[in-house]
Amino acid sequence: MKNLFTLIGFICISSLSIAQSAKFNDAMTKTLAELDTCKTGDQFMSLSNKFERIALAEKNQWLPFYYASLSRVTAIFIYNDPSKNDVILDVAEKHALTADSLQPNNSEIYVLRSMIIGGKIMVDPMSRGQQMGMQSMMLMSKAMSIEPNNPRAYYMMGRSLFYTPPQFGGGADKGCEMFNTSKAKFALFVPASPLHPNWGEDQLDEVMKQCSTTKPTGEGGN
Amino acid sequence: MYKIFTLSIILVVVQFLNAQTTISGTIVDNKNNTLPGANVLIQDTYDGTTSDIDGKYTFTTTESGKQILVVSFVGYGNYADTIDLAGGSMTIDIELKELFNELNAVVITAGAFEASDEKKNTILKPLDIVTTAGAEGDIYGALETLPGASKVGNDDGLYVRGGSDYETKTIIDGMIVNNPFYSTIPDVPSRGRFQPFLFKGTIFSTGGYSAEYGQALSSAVILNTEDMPDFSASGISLAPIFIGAFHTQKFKNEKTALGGGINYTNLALFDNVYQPSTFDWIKSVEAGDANLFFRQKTSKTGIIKVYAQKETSNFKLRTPDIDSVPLTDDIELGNNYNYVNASYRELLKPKWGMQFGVSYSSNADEILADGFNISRGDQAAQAKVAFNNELTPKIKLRYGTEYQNQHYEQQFADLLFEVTENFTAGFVESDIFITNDLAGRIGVRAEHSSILNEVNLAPRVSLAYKTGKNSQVSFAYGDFYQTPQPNFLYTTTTFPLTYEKATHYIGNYQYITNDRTFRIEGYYKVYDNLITQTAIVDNPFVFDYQNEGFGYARGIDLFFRDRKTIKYADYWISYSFLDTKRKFIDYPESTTPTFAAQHILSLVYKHYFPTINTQISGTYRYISGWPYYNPNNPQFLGDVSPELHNLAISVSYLTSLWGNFTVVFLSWDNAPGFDQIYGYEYSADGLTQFENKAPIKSTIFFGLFVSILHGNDRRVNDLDIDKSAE
Repeated sequence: MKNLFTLIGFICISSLSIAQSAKFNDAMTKTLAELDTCKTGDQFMSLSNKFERIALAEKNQWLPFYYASLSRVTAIFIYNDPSKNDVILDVAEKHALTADSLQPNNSEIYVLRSMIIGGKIMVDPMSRGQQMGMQSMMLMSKAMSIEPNNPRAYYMMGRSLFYTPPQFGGGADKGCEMFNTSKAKFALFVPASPLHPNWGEDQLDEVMKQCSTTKPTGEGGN
Repeated sequence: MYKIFTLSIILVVVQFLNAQTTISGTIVDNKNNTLPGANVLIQDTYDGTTSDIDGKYTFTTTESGKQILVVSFVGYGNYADTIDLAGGSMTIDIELKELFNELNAVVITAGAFEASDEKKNTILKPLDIVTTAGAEGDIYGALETLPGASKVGNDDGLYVRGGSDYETKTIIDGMIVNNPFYSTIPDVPSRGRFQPFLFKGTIFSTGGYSAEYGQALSSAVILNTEDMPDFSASGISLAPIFIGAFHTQKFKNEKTALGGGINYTNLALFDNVYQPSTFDWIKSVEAGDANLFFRQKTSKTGIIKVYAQKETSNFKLRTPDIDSVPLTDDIELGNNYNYVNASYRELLKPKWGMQFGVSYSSNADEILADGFNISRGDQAAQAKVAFNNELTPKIKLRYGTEYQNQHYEQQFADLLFEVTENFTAGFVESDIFITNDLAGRIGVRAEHSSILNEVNLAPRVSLAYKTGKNSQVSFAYGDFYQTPQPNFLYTTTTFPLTYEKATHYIGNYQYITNDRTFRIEGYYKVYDNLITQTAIVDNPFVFDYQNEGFGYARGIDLFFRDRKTIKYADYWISYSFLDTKRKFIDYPESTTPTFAAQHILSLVYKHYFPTINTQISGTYRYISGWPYYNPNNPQFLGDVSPELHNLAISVSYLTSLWGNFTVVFLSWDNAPGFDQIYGYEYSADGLTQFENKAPIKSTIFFGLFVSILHGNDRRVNDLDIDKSAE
């Protein structure tokens, strides 16, 4: 009798804890799928809130904080209204730093932090460009040095170079060279879990279309 | 046994068959505005949603019993309340309270324009100052484009709202600067000594400034130097008349920075091309200066800053003698200037900060006018300490004390005049945020001058009220005292004097968004105890000085800036209307002074062309004219100089030299070649009239500036790219 109750109790408790991590995986998997289907800035902001709810409930998981932040960064690029960036990115930065405190020396988080600074520069490029540009660059370099095989670091660095005029050390050639490196790394990249960051290849392919017209020079006669 | 088994099965089944509760409602703020995008959730669960564009939310949860409903939205305090989930539907409308956030709160602005990167409500950024056409990188040249401020003719100094140039003081890191302009003689234009890049922020107060400062009847230019640089950097500036270089090294410990620079100016090439029309150069302006920069972080919150500048300059020119026309006067000026400013800032306790500073300056001019030797000089030392307390997040207190020792001397051949001043002052001021929308500032300043042997007490009060999300009104009232100028103090033991006084009443309305600023400000200044002088027969060097002068200045200043309407363009319009009369120095009656123009209009336009990395800017300026003295007119200062127009154009091209950020710039002052007459002077017999005008009508100035940032051990070009993947 007692054994039966204990057995049922045990089943209930263990099914509860299986349910909990399954619950986390389940919720994260479903919400991550929405990263691909969301279209508008408002949708990405709602998605950010969704990740934030998971993050606040779990407290010790860096991934929901990371994605809550990433969703906000995506939102500002869709809104394309730099005057809103500071308000949205201040929260994104808070989440990124929380993720950093839970998982220090994580290459993906450094890429994210670099992107956030990039978004802040857009608010006032004339005043913020020189100083913050350097900060963004240094964060991205750190991302690369922690994980030399992180394709996203090379993709974002490539973007930055591609859209920076040659006079400031950038240019299409440098950007495309970085994109090629990133593409090769995407081919070899295996995320640590289905929940770990694995985004960017589609966007890379899209921007690389502009590279086919700018072949690096020095190849000799065609 | 069978029953118990069934019961336990039922229990397990019931456990997994949770009742669902649907929660809905509307989210508003304390002003009943709906809030879209707020995060509504059940604490410690994933359940929740985001409020929609109408502030409405709805979601379903399988949680039951007592739970905590949380709502969060940036800029507002979190809402949290316990609710009982028992299935069915619930409607919960929520009101969020706006957080007191200094960045969004009302700002006391009456009489002040702030240029800094830190505050969001700034009107000018430091870069704006440097890129304004016509300013030629001079802080005061750029401040001229703001309403209420003007340079007058060839005079150095800034004239603000009907006040003379001595009524405006320059303050660096809290301490007054003597001689912020290069030494010159009348009719030879001058500019500020300090490079704008030194400063992280500028507050230009056209009146009603804080009780922390004093000894300026009209206005204060409050400059704050950069703290710790982010990176080591070097820079080189090159122009046909100027060469300069600086290097700042940030040490690896991230706590120390040391740097310095040297500059050399020689106007000889310039003078060969542009011959002045009102005088001739015998020896063009030649100047050299060296400066030193030191920063040390003493703790997470403390920093020591030291800046020192040493300069020397000289020139010699020949001017026509207006009293005896064929004759000329040879005038030679040599100047030596030293300046040191050291400050220490630290947080003594979490809400209690301290700033301590000392400064020393010495300025010496040697003038040879037709063989006649005149020298003048001053040395000034100042020590100041100030504390700021945050008593509550809504009540701040600032207080401090300062001591200044100043020595002035003037020598004409063998005749020496000198005076020493021991000056002490103290102030107390409190900022009170009564609500997020209403803020007040009240303070008092007390000063004692040893020469005048008198204490003055100056109350200062300001109020600001936020009328809308982006708009506010602001008021200021205050008394401002100033010790009379040194010239009047040399003989004051014979004629006891008191402080000159101005009382300010200011009111403004402003509307500021990220991209547009509109501001209208009205002011009324009452002057009292201004220095009057009457000549004593037979003695050209001694006058009878009294404080019997008085006057008023009133007017309206308008400012509009737009960075949104035209893509890549930034423009602002300033307009000032001024009505002022005063009786002071040797004026026989109260009248509009020689430095007051009734209408001043400035239009600054900057356009960036991204495809060619070039910024083109233009500044148009209109001044309605200044009164001038005509001995043939029975009405004193009854004549007004002609209307004055100026159009300055500058082009900045951004490029790179060996991978370093480079700016090539060209500026063209008075491009259309307008005739600019500042006024007229007359020979002693009143018969011959001379134009008082700019020595050179239209000038072109060009140069380049290279900035080298040492941010990383490796620059972008040298990044170790993993080539094996290609």
